[in-house]
Amino acid sequence: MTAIKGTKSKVLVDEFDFSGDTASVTVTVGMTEEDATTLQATGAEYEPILPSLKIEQNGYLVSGSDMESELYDRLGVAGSYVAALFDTDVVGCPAYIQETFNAQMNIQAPAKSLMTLNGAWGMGRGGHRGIRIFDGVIDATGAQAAVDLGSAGSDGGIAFLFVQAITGSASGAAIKVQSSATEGGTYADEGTFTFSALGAYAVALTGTVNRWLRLNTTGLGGATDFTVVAIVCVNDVTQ
Amino acid sequence: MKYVVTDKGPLDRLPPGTDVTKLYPEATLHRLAKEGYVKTIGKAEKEAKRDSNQGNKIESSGR
Repeated sequence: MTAIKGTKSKVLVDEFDFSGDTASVTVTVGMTEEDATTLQATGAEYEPILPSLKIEQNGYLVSGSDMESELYDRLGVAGSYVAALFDTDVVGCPAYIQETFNAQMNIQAPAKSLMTLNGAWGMGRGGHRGIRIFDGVIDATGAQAAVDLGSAGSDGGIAFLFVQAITGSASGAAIKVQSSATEGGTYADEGTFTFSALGAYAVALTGTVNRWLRLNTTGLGGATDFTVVAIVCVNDVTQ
Repeated sequence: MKYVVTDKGPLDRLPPGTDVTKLYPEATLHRLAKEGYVKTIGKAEKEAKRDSNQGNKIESSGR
């Protein structure tokens, strides 16, 4: 067994990759529980109620970086997509994503050390766990390599696209999420991202999602290329 | 009649052969059967098994 270095992680906030400003990221997945102890029970009994996801990041105040201003702008403002990815050298690495707001910022400026910027994202609207199916530059229409989820899902899910850079300008660029039962089989459309600006986007997936997943760009919207990260979360498979 | 995961699976991390009759609503089972992810093992198959065993019983009766 080879444990993974902490450097093989990423933290994404909408169109920003703050990995280069972040020293550590912590993901806490919790479950609330309620006492369900009954008569004749031999011990306390509890039932799970609702899951929660919390992402915290500790980092540095880097000269010229957007992190301080972007975190401040998101303080208490709902609607940001934050993702923490782990074991990022692996193609289908796990990722935790939530739609949230910045709940806390802590800036420290010690005279004898580096300035630090620590923060915590609010628990927002629940959270998701998925796998990354693409991370790179798309400069032409067509399909990307597929990633194996290991199992089909029967009950939909959700996909996220973090659009980090656009060369030129995109108007109505379209990227589909597709799935197939086999790597070389026929791919069915599961959802389409349509965008014209940087940012993070989500699209719901419904019904059966086959085990092999890929992106297929149907239109660059006039752009030369764009840099994106795509994460797919499938119910009862990844979350 | 029961439904089991086919070789097209795993489905929801359940390996091929898993009995999923009680795991999904009827409408979902029909959809999954149409998509090829589950198949039925029902009355017709049970009768075919029983018929194929009857010959063996007669042979083993020693008459």
